[in-house]
Amino acid sequence: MNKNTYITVAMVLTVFMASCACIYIRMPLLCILTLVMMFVIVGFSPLCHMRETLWTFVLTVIITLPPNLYVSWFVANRAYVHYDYPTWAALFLALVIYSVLISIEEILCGTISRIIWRKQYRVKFY
Amino acid sequence: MRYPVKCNWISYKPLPDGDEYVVHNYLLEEEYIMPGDDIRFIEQLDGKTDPMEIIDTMSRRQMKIYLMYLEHFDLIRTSRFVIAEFPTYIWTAWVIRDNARFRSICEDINTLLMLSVIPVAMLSIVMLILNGSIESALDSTSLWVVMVGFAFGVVSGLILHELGHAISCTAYSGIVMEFGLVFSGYFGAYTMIDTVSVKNRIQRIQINLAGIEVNILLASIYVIMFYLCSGLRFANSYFWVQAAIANLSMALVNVLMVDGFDGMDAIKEILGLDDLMRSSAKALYNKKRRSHLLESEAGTVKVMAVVFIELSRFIYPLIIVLSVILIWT
Repeated sequence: MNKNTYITVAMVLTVFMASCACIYIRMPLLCILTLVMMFVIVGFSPLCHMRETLWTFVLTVIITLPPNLYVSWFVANRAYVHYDYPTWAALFLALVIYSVLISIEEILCGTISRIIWRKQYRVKFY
Repeated sequence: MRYPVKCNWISYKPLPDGDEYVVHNYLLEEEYIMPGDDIRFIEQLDGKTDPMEIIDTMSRRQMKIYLMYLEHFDLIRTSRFVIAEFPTYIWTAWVIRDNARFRSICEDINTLLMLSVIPVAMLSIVMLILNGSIESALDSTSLWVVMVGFAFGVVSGLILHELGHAISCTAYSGIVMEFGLVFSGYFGAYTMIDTVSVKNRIQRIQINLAGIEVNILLASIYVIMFYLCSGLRFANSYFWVQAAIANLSMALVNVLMVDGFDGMDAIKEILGLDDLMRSSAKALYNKKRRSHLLESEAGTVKVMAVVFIELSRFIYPLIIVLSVILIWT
């Protein structure tokens, strides 16, 4: 791995930790800022040049992990405590919410990245 | 329909040598080669012209056999009601005739849809927050209101979802073949579109997401209707809550990254993955190629993206099936 890779990985980890910190202080809405930071990293890192959409797609999964888990857990816990859901149903509800949230975030972030960075390399697997 | 008519879901282009055409069937996703005479004949079939007037050298019997042969290849149809693939039946409700005025109207509706979806959704959320929970309303609702409201929400959501795709595709100069209803053990709607002529990727993403936007907009409007009707004695406002739940469910299910759903189509457009199955096979199941990809950072990211998409493709359908079981039990 070269220097750029180390810098990018360090920055992504920083943003991920910032995302965790937002959840730790129980302010999941602040995670929107971490997404903005993710776009800044993707925009400035030479490693992501012309592959911004692909990087955004992967980084969104990592960076939105804490808020998505928090929201899923919050709703499942509420269903379990207030509405007497069985444990398996509450866990399943959490899974459903997580899947929907991550899908929405991926589509939104992906579309934004496509709007910002129009020219991208084709994703080829050879 | 008095006489046979050319099917809307076929397109054809001439082969460079010889009098033959390559026919693409969008309904069955098939391609085959047909003689030029057949294509020129079906082009003249408009449902009002007697085929015997087009080819007057054939006897009635010969014409009947010829029309059966063309129908076998899905080139013509004699009814709005067609068996796509048993047991799937489709009923053509609207064949969209593209013209400048209609396109202009579609452009306006599409712009209005894009601009209104977030403000109207925000308004409904604000109304929900300000007016309190609707849980008590749901508890006191009778079963028939639940069923009728939900059915209304599903039917309106299905039809307008597909119309959303059709309008968006027309607005961006895509090809909209037809819009209709489908019966295959369940009731549904369909729209046949081809976005190959839409060069802008953002526009293609919007075409894929237009249906979801319509469902969110409808859910928001129904929530607003619930609060507007709550003071009226003659109107059962809980009807609108059920309709909103139906539309919200449709939007959330459609957004998932599952094959055939709008969410997956949008992701494919965003990433530029035209053939996901082939990409996955190359990136994940070919060991030599995978290790080659993992040697570079860009390759690693590609593999990570495909792993996530593949996981979604297998896990999310399971979630949907389990959700349905959970709801029914």
